[in-house]
Formats: sequence, C-alpha cells, structure tokens
Amino acid sequence: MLTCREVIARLADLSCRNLAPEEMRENKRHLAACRSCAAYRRTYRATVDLAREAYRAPESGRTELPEALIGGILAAARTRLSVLSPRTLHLVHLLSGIAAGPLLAFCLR
Amino acid sequence: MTPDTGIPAGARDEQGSERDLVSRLRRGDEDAFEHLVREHGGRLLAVARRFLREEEEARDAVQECFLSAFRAMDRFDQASRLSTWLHRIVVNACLMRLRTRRRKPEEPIDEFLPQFQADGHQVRHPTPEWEGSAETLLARRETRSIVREAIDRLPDSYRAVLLLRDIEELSTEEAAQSLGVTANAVKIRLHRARQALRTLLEPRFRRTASC
Repeated sequence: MLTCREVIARLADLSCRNLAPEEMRENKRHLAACRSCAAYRRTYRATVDLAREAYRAPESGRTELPEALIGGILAAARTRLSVLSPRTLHLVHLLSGIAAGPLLAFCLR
Repeated sequence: MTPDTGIPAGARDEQGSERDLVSRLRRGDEDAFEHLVREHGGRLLAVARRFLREEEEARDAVQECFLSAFRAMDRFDQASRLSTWLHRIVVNACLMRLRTRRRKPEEPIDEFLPQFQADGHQVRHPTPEWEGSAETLLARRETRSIVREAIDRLPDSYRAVLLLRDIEELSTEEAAQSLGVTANAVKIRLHRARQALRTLLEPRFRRTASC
C-alpha cells in the first residue's frame, strides 16, 4: 500500500487524472483507508479553489489607474518614443512648406 | 449574426473599433495612447500588484508594459485581443522584475510543506478538517483577503508559479516558457506552492472543536 508521503506527492496528478489506472486505484485505496490523507486532499482542493477565486473582485469594482501614473506613462511615451523632438518636427514642417511648391511642380510634370 | 461573417454585429463593431485604435496608435496618435492607458491600465495594475508586492514596483511594471506595447505596436499582429496582448506584456514585465530580485536569497518553503515520519506517515495526524468547502468559505467577506495575504507570504518563485497557473490560467508549458524553466519544474513548484498555501490558510479555516 502507498504511504501518505507518496499519496500527497501525487495529489496534483490525482486531481488532473494524470496517473495510470492502477496508480489511480492505489491512491484511492489509500485515501479510503487514511482519514488524515483524505482530509488533506479535501483541504488541498479547497486551497486551489480559494486561490482561483482570491482575485475575482465581486463587490470592489475595477481597479483605477491613478491620474499621476497615467500622466507619467504618457509623458514617458512622448519623451522616449517620439521619433522627432517637437522642435525638429516643427523644422520639418517648415521645410516641407518651403519645398512643397517645387516638389508639387516636379510631381505634376 | 450575418451570413457573411458569422460574427455577431456587436462583436464586429468591437473588432472594428480595436482595429481603428491600433491604426491610430501606429500613427502616433496621442489621444489613442491616452485612451489605451485609461481603458486597460487599471486591470494591468491589478495584475502587477499580484506579482509584485511593492506598489511602486507594480506601477513601474505597468509603465514598462505600456512603453513596450507602444514600441512594439507595429509588430502586434491582432491575432489576439489588445487586452490579451497587454496582459502578456505586463506579466512578463513582472516576471523580469522578480528574476532580478531573486539574486537575493529566497525564504525557504520547506517549513510550510507537510512533514512525514520515516515510514511515510504524516507527522501531523489527523489532518484537521476545514470549516467548509471553498464555496462555503467564500461566502464570508474576509475570505478573499485572507487568501491574498497568504499568497503574498509565499516565496517569490513559488508565488509566481501559483499566480501563472491557478490565477492567470496559463498552461504548464506557457508558464514554463514565461519563467524560463522546464514544465516539470513548474509542476513541482506549483504543487509545493499549493501545499504551502494550504499550510498558511489552515489556522484561519480549520474547524474548531465543539464542546
């Protein structure tokens, strides 16, 4: 017969039915005979169910991102991700305006 | 349902609006950035808080997540929802931080695992029953916070596996990939994490002897 140590070591596999049929039978035989392990198995399963429910927030509503953090994220995005700085971008727009006339004429030829 | 797409009209509108948002994000539309942050930020912060116990670290992880997303927007293939994609990014950002943190020695988990005698019987005999099933216990208002506090007490590497598998519902293989370990390591750590959590919860939930 399996020992308590062996049965408890396989509890996760027992729940997922990952054991071979004979192993399943041996585990069930031990659990039928050992009150302690049967209680451990019940409380182990309750633990897994409780963990799965722990972060489901029924009454508390959704988490809001603090305004300061939103501002920080947007500022960081503007600083790190803009290809051109606002000053350079302005220069590009200016130069495009100057070049637009000749460029348009070239395209329409 | 329309015969053309087989997709309900409401769902198609949502897909369309998300495609439009992604296009605007790729063009660098700042209003689109802000909409994305406001729409998804709260949920991502909730996820980050589970992995990282410090509030400042959780906020930093969320910021990193959005910056990574903005940088990689051109590579987002829209095979999954934006929310799913962002969720994956924030989980990875949290795991990176945990890996950096793990250079410090971690609290051992052995004291929270069941103890056995030489013949394989449990040292603690009999195992106490709890006051009810998970469903019964969850009817109490304080149960969820008790469980969350207990999860927070687990060592980082075990807590991460428990969060990935039992809360985030990743498969063993997905969790292994995220953590950079084998599937077998995930299985072993998960079982130990659950056993440790059980030990931590027992004093709060065990059935008290009636007179």
